Amino acid sequence: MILTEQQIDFIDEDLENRGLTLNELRLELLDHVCCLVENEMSGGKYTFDEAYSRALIAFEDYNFEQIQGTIITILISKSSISMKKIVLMTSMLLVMLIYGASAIEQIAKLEPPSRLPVENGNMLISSGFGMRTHPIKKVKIMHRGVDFRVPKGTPIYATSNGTVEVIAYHKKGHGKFIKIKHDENYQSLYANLSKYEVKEGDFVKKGDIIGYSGNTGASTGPHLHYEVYKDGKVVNPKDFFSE
Amino acid sequence: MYNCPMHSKQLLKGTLQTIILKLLSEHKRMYGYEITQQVKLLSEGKISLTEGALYPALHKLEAEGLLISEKVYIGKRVRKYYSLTQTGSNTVTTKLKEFSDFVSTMQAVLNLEPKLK
Repeated sequence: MILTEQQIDFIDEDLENRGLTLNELRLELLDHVCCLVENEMSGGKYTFDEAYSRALIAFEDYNFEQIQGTIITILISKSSISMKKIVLMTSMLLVMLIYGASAIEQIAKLEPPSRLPVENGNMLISSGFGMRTHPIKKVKIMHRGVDFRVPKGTPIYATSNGTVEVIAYHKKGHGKFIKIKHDENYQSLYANLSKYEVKEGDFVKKGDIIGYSGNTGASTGPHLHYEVYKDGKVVNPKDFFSE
Repeated sequence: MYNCPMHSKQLLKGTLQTIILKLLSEHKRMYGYEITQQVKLLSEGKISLTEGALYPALHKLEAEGLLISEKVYIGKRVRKYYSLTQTGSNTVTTKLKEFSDFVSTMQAVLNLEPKLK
């Protein structure tokens, strides 16, 4: 059993959507996942979709982004003793020059993303966090965030202070999305947007408008898909909402 | 760190590097998936390495200069093979000695029947 080029492309794109952004590492893990899928399919018991879902279970406890993070940390700490410190010092100095010393204090303040990403968000949740049948793929799969049913063009707010880490567009996944790093522990992700109002590296305050909702990517109607990461793993965003 | 259908996670913690290095000393070059399969086979399914532990360990050993890697292109896929460097080969002996000393010590402390040579 050998996977077709289309199947390999599908897995490759999916792995990228799951946070494997380093090309070299993604290609290495892609081969591993392909081997797992081929192994699952070899008896003729499972279809490609089923085999892929089963292969992903092998990685469930250590999601791809976390594996990538661990490896990046290893590479940085081995490459040069002071590299990491120099990068940190320079960026702190830059932030201080641009935003003043108070910005440093704000960055240092640890706070989980507690604001709702849309106004009256609690009333608008259409799909919660956890296992569900995927609306497009029609298989039981983990829903990694919370969906808010909002019309296209609804303002999206940063749910805590932080720095814009990623601005990207994945046609078959999150569509236009933004990822914010709040501190060493927390990150939040806003997907299926129509428009960005920030760029990578921007410092945002809790409640700032970062973009507008839409229907881009794998989406069956206008909504905001919102995720929260704690130490690299997705957690239920609802646990942090203070409103 | 590991999925261990039979052996406790705590017992196996810290043995991952030793396992990787020893396997590579016998197989010249291996890729990640092959290592997981080989461990499953040798341990008769009692130890199964998780990918989340294996890949960081491989990259760490490579960054420390114990392993080198080479890429083989198979159509659209890229297979990354790891093999031991000279330093890596030397380390295998040390690691195995360390582990066998540890086992002997534990046998003495726990007063077990000596089953290992």
